Amino acid sequence: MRTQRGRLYLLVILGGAVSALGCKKEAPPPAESGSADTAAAVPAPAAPEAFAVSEVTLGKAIGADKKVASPTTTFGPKDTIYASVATTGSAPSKTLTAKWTFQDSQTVKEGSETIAPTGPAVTEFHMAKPSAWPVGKYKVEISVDGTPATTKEFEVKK
Amino acid sequence: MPDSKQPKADFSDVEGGSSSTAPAPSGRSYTVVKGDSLSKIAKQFYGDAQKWRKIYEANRDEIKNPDLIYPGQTFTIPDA
Repeated sequence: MRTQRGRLYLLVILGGAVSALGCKKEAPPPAESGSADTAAAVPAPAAPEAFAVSEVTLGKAIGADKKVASPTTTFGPKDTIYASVATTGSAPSKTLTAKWTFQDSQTVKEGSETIAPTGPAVTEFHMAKPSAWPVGKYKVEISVDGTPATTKEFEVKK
Repeated sequence: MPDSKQPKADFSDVEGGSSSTAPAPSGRSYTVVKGDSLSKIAKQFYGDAQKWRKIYEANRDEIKNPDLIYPGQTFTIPDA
């Protein structure tokens, strides 16, 4: 009887010691590449927001923050035309492309900007024509890594 | 019968440009080899294995699970 009770105490003490050691253990770093059995070892941090184009604004001027102060879709022949592209999310490398077209067919200009955003960002594209823009309807298509994201139409009037 | 085709406009003198509030991508990159882990890569570049999250967050498109990275994957290494 005494022996059994002694063994019981010993088990309880040993169990407590093991638990205490277990509590002090630090969270393990991520598993080595190719191993799948430790997937749950480290809880995944909150996923950063995926990169996306949130808004495209057109205007005749931008501020230091690259945003258009007075949005418009109607321009004069001598205006510089700005497209301010607001994006959200982070990415190590994204290429934004602005393709400007006239009357749905003729390419006016194409420009791109590669960025590594760590949060909300604004990227501006602009174009000017010293000899004046032909009157008519224009369009700017914004692509992300070659995939069309959004299109904005505008018009040049006399 | 009149020709309905309009002559193309001349855009040869169009000037343009772009800029962004976002930084340009860092030039450093690393291709995963067998036996790598994010903490091992962080140790290599930053001297601190605990900074593995920095690499993970900069490569969310590539890394679905920080415990599972594969040989051949190329990661951007952000500045410390």
